[in-house]
Amino acid sequence: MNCKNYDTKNESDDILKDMHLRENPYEVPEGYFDKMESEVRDKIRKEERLEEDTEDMSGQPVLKGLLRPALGLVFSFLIVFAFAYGIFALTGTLKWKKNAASKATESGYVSSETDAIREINLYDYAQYVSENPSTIDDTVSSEDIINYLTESNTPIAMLADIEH
Amino acid sequence: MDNDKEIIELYRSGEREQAFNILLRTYRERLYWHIRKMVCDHDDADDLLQSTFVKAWEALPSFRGESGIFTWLYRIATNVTITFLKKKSLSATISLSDYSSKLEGKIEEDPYFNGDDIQMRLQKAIASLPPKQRNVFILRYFDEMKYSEISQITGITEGALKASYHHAYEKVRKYMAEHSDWH
Repeated sequence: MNCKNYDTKNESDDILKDMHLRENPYEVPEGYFDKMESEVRDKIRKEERLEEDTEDMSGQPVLKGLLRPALGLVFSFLIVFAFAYGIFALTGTLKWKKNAASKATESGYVSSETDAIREINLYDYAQYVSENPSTIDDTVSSEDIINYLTESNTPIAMLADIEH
Repeated sequence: MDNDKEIIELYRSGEREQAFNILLRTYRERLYWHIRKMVCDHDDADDLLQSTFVKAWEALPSFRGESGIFTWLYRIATNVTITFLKKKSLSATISLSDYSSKLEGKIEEDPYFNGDDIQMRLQKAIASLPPKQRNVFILRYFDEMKYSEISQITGITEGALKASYHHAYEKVRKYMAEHSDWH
């Protein structure tokens, strides 16, 4: 390192006027600038390659390019699913309605009424009968009654007490 | 300036790499020395110079030619370097240390410093300046740039630059006087 003698008094006047101070005191390793140039070119090439890799042929970023078919697939699936669900739901409802309708046609009002009666207790039934006497089938013949009592093993003494 | 025209013409004609090679060759040393005086350390200067050129390559398509390529490159280099120095100062503050003192140490240990004692003292004095003031001082004192040119690079008005340079100059002079018995 070179040394230069400076008078402190003069320095305090204006040392910065000394042209020697404007000289460049730094150095660089040998061949630095050429090496730096090639490093910069390498960096730029790498960045450009990276950009190319992240873009597909249409200039879209790879992530977007990868996501696009995946999202398309998901949406297609959702559409098919919704369509199929709609069909099943619709036909299922129709089938149910059809079943209900056919059931009603087959067993008719009686069936529904019987089901309803099954649900109520004996007291209610008696009340129902008293209020709706027309619903009682009074066309049963005495012969039918006797047949029923016979088949149900009703004691003869009891049958003898029945008034005609 | 002739190189600037050649660079722009080559770039516009599609010879991008050739244009950039001329740009690199033309400005690499001037930019390096400016950055080196700002950060003192060769490795840091190397990193920052490379970032400057990479950024310049990326920004070249948007270069409108309103200012010269040299001014434009200096602006990029200055921004990159000041951002670096601010980050270093901030991290030094967080770790309760002083970045200027670290820089002074770096200058002393730098194997690529070939100046004498007074030159070392000057570099240390410059390292003690805030980054923006340091930039103005280096551009004016070493590169002898006009205030109008510095204004184009920094975006600071000429009046403010004169004041900034004056403050920096006085600080450096004071530092030099105070540390005259160091070595």
